[in-house]
Amino acid sequence: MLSLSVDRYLHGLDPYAMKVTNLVIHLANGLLIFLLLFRLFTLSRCEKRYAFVVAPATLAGLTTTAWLLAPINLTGVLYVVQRMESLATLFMLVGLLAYTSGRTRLAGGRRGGLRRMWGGLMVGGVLGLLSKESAVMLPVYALLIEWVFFGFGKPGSAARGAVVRLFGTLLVLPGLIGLAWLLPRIFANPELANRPFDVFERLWTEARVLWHYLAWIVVPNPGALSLYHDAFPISRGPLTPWTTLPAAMGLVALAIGAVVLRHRFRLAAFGVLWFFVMHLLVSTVLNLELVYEHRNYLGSMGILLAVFALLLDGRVKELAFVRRFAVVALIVLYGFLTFLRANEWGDPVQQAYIEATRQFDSPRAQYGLGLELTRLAPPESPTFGIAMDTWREAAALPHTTLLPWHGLIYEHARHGLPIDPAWWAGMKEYVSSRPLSAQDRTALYTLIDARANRDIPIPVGPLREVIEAAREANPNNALLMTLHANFLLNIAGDARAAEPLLYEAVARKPKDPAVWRNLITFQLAIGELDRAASSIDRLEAVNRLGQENKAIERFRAELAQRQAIAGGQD
Amino acid sequence: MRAKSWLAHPLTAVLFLLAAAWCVYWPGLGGGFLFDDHSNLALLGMYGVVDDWQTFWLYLLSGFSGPTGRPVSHLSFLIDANHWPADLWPFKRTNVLIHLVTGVLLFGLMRSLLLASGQSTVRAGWVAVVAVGLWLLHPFWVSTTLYVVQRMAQLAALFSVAGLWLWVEWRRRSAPQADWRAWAVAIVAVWGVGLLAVLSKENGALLPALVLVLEITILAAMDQRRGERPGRGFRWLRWVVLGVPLAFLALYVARSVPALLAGEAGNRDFTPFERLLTQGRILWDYVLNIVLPRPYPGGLFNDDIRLSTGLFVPWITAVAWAAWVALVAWTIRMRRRYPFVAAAVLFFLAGHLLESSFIQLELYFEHRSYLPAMLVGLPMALWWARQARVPKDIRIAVPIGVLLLLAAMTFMRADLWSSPYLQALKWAKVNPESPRAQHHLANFWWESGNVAEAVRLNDRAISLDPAGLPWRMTRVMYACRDESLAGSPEQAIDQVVGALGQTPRVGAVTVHQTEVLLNYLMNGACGEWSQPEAILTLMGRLKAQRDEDDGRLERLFWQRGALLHLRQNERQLASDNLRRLVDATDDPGVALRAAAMLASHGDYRQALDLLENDWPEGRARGRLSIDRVRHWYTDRTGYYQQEREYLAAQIREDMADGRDRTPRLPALP
Repeated sequence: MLSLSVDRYLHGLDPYAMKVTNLVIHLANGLLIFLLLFRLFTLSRCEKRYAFVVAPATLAGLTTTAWLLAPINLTGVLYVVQRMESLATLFMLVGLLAYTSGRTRLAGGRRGGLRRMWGGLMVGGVLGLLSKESAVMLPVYALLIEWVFFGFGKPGSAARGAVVRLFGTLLVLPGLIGLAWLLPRIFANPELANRPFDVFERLWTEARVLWHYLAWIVVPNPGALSLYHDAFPISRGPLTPWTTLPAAMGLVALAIGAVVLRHRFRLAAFGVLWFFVMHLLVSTVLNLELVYEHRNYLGSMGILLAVFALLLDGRVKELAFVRRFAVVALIVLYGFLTFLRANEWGDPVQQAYIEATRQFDSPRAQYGLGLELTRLAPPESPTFGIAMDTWREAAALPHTTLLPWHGLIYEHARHGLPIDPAWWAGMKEYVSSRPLSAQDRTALYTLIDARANRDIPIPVGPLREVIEAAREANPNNALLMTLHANFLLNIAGDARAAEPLLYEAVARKPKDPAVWRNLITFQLAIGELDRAASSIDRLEAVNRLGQENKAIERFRAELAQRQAIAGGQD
Repeated sequence: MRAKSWLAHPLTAVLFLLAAAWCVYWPGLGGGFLFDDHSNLALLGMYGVVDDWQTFWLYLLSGFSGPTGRPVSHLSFLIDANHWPADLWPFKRTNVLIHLVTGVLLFGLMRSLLLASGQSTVRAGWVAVVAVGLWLLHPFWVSTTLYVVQRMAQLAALFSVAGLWLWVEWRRRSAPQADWRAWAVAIVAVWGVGLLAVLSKENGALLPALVLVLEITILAAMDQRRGERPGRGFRWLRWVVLGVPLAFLALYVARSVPALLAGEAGNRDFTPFERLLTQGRILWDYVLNIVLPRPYPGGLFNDDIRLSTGLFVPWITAVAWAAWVALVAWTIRMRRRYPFVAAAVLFFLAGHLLESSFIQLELYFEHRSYLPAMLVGLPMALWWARQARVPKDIRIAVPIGVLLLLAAMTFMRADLWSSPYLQALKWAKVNPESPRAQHHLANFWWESGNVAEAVRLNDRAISLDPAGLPWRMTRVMYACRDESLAGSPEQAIDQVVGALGQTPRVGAVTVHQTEVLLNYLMNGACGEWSQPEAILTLMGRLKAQRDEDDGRLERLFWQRGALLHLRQNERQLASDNLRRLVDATDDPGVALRAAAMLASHGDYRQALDLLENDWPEGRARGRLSIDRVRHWYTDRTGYYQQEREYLAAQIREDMADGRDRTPRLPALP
């Protein structure tokens, strides 16, 4: 968060500067990965059977290059918000380097080892956590390194005691407390709020998702990689679809294989287990979306390492040149694909088009394309027709959102074209039967806004029906209350009916800036200036990260203006 | 031995702790003034901007909290502002700095105690670092440090620790004899520094008791270890230096004993004996909060505590007291064997002697443990440092982990203190049984226009404490605003009158709430109930309920009554009201304001008459009090006389001009 503010301070809201910073962080991560891998490889250098057909530094360099260029890591770099992930990774890597360095000292009987180990995990962990919660996995990564490369030291040695105590304090104890807190809460209520799946369905689905990740890392298919994976079919049980159970068993087999074969194929086993670490957190019971590529940001290094270590194993002498060539070819391929993908990201329309053609069953991707097209095209051009068709198809998809309908209605109303009643019916059916996401609410909001502030003749009657249906299905949702109030106030012109809704919404969500903003707008509009002033103070109180600064400034200016007018009348 | 780098020095660690404490308190420096801040800090503006010696002395001598007026604390407020209203930030900043300075002094004290008990210099330094960190970063002190008016408790603690350190350091360095130097140090440490503590807050008077605790525990053990028996002269010194102030204190407290024996509740909801019983449980609650800190609640609303009305009602009262008795007996027996444990326990109890016994104060405040709990971490840290069998990395990691945890919790609490609104939300949520917490939050909703939610919360407060005046009065305002949500104002007013008849006490909060209500009504916000006659009738009904009170409410009614009569052009009635007010307060300051009020409504003759014929003598109340000093000062400098003549001259001038003028002293305190 801080680094984003720094960027914003230095460069304003220029995405170019933000992306450059992200890229610099990515390169720094690459350097750290190289250092870490090199250190780990040189630890086992003395043991002949781990030799490779290339030098350890070369293997580390190859793995790092492949990781830097891997197409799956692109969203982590070019999607600006994922700064959180890459920055957390940076701190975790620094922590792991400090741990490894301290651990080597401890093993060699030199001073200061323990201090580095504790310090690395604690400082790296805290700084990482301030970037993103995923940094809680830092001690798990350290544990993996310890287990595979150091074996916890010799039995009965002082080093073993110290290491056991370190992990007991920093991992086992907090981990047990955390699980004791988390698991009963999750299994007492397996329904996940605002999601179309529950905890068990998520677990089954993730088994298949993980195989997709593995494939995307090693053999990236430009047709599959995307920002949008919202159409990923959910597993409702072990055999629906039937691939679920095999996928889950395959994962178990992979993990067990890695553990069993860790002495014979040390680096490959290490890499496979490394991949699993982050997924223990993000691909299990937490209430998150199902699929995101950036979840493999650090983990992809493990899989690449495993593949390269197997390909370049020094115990097999045959075809050494071909194998080296294959590794280099893979890296070149990754670089090429990432280059193509980065190019797409350079142009929003092209990106939307490509995402939509690849993810033809993803409503978000389709909607994104339609949106980009309508930005360019007047209604008489054929492009407009393509955009509308895209949305019609998107609305028919099983995992659709309100957005395609919203787009159809909005664009037709904007250009004075007839609106198909079936779209309204579809919206109404959707809002009464599905949990509404933030996007869905935004879709409803923009329709209200279009009518109220942009002179776009959205028909009032059907809109009212949709909003009322949504309210009926979610009577306690504070944001819908505000939305409803907004409609009553700005379109139906019924302030009396809107007022209690706005007040109930803030009472239910007293820390939500959005509901306060609506209330303030209302109070300013009807001239309750003292109350508006106090509500602006409340908005300021809940503005923890400064995201409301602009709104507050605007409200204060408006308040001052109205006060001046009111003062002038007296 | 290898020379240690400066990084591994205890003093570096102390600096680091101070920096950490500053950082975790930093987010709490915003926010707003709370409750008692307003009345106490308003003194800064009572005589205009404090920028000359006369206003300076008048300001210092005008404190009204406790018999001393706490001039040292008021002096310290001048660091942050010399006028009122003022910006909050500097006040909180200074509070945090005081917290840090106290931390440094406490480090010195603890290190001296550890050295006195024969610990090595290295261990003494590090154990003191950990123990001071446990106190400095503890979340329980957020409500002391970030509540501006608790500066008073903080300063009393600061001076007490300074005195203790001086005493212990002197004792450690010299044999227990009584030469002139010993007398000088002892008198400076206990009487000199102690006086500063008392003039910050009366609690400072416990300094001799705290010294005594250390004398009979750690210092006694030190003498024993060194084989030095205190000589006769030294025992004399102790008797005099510690005994005399304690005897005075005992005499002062003894004045409350008859009330204890007679079971007089005074203006509280409980008798002194019930209070004493309840404190047994409350003291354990403090201990629990200190030993097992939580990020929340923590706060100022502790009115959800169940009162102990008998030794077995609730039964846990007896258990709590039995545990205290057993603990004290054990520590006294073991005080030489486990001097640090004994010192921590007895220090805690001795520090609570005044505020947590039978003197009729409120039941519970976190800041009361600020000083008493200072030594609690010391035996723990020492015990941990002695665990030679625990490997070194764990011995270091555990204290660091604990300190990090405390710092994180303090940070969370402090962060909440920067936002009164979020704080009110949190308090209402974690103290669902506290009517004050609900009422406090209701006010925030009221301000931003959410009457429905304000009514809901206020009604919750009423159902928790039906006789509570503040929520009953607030109810009237709500009813004025929206009858459909809060019922009719008439009914609400009837309930206020009924509640006032039942309530045993009219405290500052009630008076303030009445004032808020009257202001609301007088601003014309309540239709027919805002008519002057209606308000006068209401005040008459309220007064009829409380004709035997000490008169704060009555004085408020006289003043507001005068204003209402002036509005209705009933000059004689207004003047009568003001004369009664001047009579009752016997305060020239009030007389000046009253005259100004009359004059500003054009009633020059009554105003001059009041100044010339009904001028109060202004006799000081109490034998030994700050009021007496102030009166002596105003008499000597002729302050009120000058102001009186000046105002009279102004009035005559205005009379001659026949025009209105704005009063120089617009409002009553």
